[in-house]
Amino acid sequence: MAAHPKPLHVEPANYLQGGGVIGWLTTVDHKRIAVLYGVSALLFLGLGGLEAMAIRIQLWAPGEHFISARAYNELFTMHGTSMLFLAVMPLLLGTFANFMLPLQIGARDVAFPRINALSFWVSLMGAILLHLGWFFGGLPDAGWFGYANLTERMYSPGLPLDFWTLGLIVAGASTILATLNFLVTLITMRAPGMSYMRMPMFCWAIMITSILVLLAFPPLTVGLIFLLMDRFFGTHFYIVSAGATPILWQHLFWLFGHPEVYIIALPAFGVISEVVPTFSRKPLFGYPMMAYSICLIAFLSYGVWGHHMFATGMGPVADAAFAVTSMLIAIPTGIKIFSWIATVWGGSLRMTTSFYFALGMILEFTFGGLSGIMHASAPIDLQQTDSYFVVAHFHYVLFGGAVFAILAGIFYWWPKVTGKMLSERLGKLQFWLTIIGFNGTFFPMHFLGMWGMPRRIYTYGAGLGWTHLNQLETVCAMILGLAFLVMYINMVWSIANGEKAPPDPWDGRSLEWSVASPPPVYNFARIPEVRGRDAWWIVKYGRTGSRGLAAYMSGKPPQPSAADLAPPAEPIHMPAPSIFPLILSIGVLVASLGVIIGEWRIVILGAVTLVVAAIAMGFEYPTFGQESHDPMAAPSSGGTDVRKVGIWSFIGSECLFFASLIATYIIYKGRNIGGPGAEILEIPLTSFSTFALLMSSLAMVLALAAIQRNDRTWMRVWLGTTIGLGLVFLGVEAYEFTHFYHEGLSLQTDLFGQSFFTLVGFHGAHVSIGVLWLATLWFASFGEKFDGSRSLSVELAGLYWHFVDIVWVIIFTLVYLMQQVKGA
Amino acid sequence: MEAYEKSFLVASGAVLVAFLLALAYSVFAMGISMPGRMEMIACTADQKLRKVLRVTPPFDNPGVHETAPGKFDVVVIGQTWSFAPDNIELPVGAEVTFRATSSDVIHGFMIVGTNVNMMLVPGEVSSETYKFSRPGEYLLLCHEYCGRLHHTMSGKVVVK
Repeated sequence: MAAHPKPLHVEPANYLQGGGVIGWLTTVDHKRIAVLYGVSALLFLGLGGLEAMAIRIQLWAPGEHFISARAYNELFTMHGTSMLFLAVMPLLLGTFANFMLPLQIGARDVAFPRINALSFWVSLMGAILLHLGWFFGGLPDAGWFGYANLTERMYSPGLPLDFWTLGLIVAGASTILATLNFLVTLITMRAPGMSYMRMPMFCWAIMITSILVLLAFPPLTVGLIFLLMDRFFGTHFYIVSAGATPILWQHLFWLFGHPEVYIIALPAFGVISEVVPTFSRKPLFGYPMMAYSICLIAFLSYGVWGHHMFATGMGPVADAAFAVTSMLIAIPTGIKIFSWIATVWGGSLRMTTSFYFALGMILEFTFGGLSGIMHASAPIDLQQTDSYFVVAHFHYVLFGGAVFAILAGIFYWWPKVTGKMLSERLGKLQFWLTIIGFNGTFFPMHFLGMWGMPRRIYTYGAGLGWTHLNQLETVCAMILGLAFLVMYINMVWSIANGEKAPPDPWDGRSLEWSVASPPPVYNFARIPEVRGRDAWWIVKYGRTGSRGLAAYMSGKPPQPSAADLAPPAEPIHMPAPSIFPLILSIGVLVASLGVIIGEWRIVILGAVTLVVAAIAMGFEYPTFGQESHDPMAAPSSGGTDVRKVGIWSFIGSECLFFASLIATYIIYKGRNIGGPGAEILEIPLTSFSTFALLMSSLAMVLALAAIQRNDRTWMRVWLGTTIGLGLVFLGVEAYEFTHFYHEGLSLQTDLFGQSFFTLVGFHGAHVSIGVLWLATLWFASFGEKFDGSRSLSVELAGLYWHFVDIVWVIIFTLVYLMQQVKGA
Repeated sequence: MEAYEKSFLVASGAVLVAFLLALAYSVFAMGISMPGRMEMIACTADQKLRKVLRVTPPFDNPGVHETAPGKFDVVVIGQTWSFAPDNIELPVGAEVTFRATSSDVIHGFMIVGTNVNMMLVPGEVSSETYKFSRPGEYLLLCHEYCGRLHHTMSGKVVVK
């Protein structure tokens, strides 16, 4: 899918050179995309920091009026939203993972380079949407977790919350795209010899994080879609007077929100697991346990969301269950902390800035972890609900854990990315400013919380005894701001005058240090063969570490030889640039804007741009639809086609999407008041359409069998049958919807109507996309080259089609059949 | 397995058991209760929650009600951005059951320095029982962000 039809002659330049502005706008190089992510994320990190400083100035004294209450609420909302979605996640995933994954596993790019570009541009559009409120009546001001029903139009009128909702949907979609890419890359594109248990720990962290994102973002998307429908189409998903409950939002949000904590923490753990062994010059202690504990954390993170909701009264059983799981998750996290300490223990330490930050992270994150264990105890957690104690806790986790790891990673990988060294002197200065500023800002918050100060208050009374600690925090927040200013200065200075970086400045252990700094466009002139964990270390020092001892002792590590760095003798196929990811994402932005300002012509303009760009992207290369991965360009370690792994991952994510919709339907069916209920459903008619859909799956199987034995005619017949049966299903659905509408059941009537139409409607949309996909294949089959070698294209469409059918079987059973059983 | 490892395993196990015991102690011996499963307020379609509350006992009559000697029911409605009532007077030693709800968005209900800490969800009744054994003026705060003037939403409980 990715390879260019013509061999692209690659100059022996590094990836940063050439191309001009157009080159950057159309790039599909994972390294350039990582840099784009990095620039935008550092911008939002600075903005989020300024927002935090304004918040702190406002809290300097009781009754202060530095900013208005409205502005204060906007600032803490945008501080949370941008730090999480636009700064920390993009830095860890968009920048670090994007740049380092292919280099660490010995690949030349990610599995889907154009989708990678797409995920960056879409995320940028999401960021723009979130901030467009500046120009349209104010920024969103409902808090970063936007608890319903405050977010409803009757309590938050105007555009700001519309921008927030759509911006998050768009940013979430881009994150799903990005991590799908990482997962497939790690499964299929590891270099020969790079088994899972030889991957650097950072890759392990990103692999598991990707799975977390794929399964955690759909509930958030569903929650946001409900909000969007409430705000635009008059549904009542969170409106109490219709019988709904705003608690539904909290469940959907925290089902995403707690895994989200680990989506941020796991890559941070990964960075630390790279930095600590390098500067201790020892292998990572307990590698298998480190890998398994990542998996265990990910698994448990789905069972702890309730500890955010102890105050809502979930009942003793749910409270106890969530308390136990929250306590359990401390165990694998403890394993990680102890393994890092054991790695440092007895190591030959080199105290670089990066290592300082890594050690700082271990310390500060442990503090955050300890106050986290306190939250596992439901009665204690209850007392701390929405107090400043919670603010202290999660800043120790997110700043002390994630941001410290990001800073360690920046100092560690900066030479590889830019080819220049950062100043260690400024770095150490930044470290000490950060440590002082960070602890001074957030440690006193524990006490303020215990003394009763709630979070998110614009100002506070004078007689409460909160003033002095708040002033200390404000001073320290300024010091923290200064620390980041030093970092930005250091970065600019390094690019302008920094010392030139050698390929391997830190005596590194993984493969990214075996290529030039900055790396060439093609990453590796020859795909490396991996002979063990710490692949590059083994190349340098041999398996036993006996080789190159003199170099090791002198502190000047062996560098890759000139022959290693020489450009390849033959041209390398690299993915060709594409403008369509950018155009597609502009379509997303335009369509979203149209929705928000309610101008349907603009929505159509955006949607058409989007669809045309997507189709153009599909047909851009004549290799479309072929197993096109050049073995040179992308060594596959699994033997499975990247697109197949991709579609399976996508289906996994979709399962959670439908599960959230189905769960909502089941909850709201029982709370229906007024309006028609499930008795309106017509079983015989729907049984007929269900039968048609099931038969279409059979026809799909036969179509695939036909193309696999190279029989184009029969493939067309069976594919046509599948499309026909799909259309029958859609036709019946359309009739059913119109019929219900005439009976007085619409999206706005009652809880049953809205959850029924949303669930069945989204399924119908999936069937329609499937029909379009199959129709494209049907037309493509008249092309000359469509023979048995193209069977994978049919197989992929088939996988999606079967999935949609299985979802329907579940919907039919739960919505139609079970309803009747209950009624009888 | 080395002796070191064994002793660490035992120590970790002991810490876990200690945590669980502390949890059990706080719940059973100290009587810290969690907000229980909430009662619902029945809504009929197309009626504003505020109107429904006006005719739904006990919220048709918010305030302090003595149910038995020394026992009180305090009925509170949280609304944007105030509590009704926002000045609650109680005698020392009163055993109070707070029954509270919200008439619009989600609010918080926290009495600083006590175990009373609830979320007021519109359409649901939150209850919590607490015994005020020390006299004084307690701060009643909304600690769930509820909009523009959230920081002004407060009241006081005076125990004499």
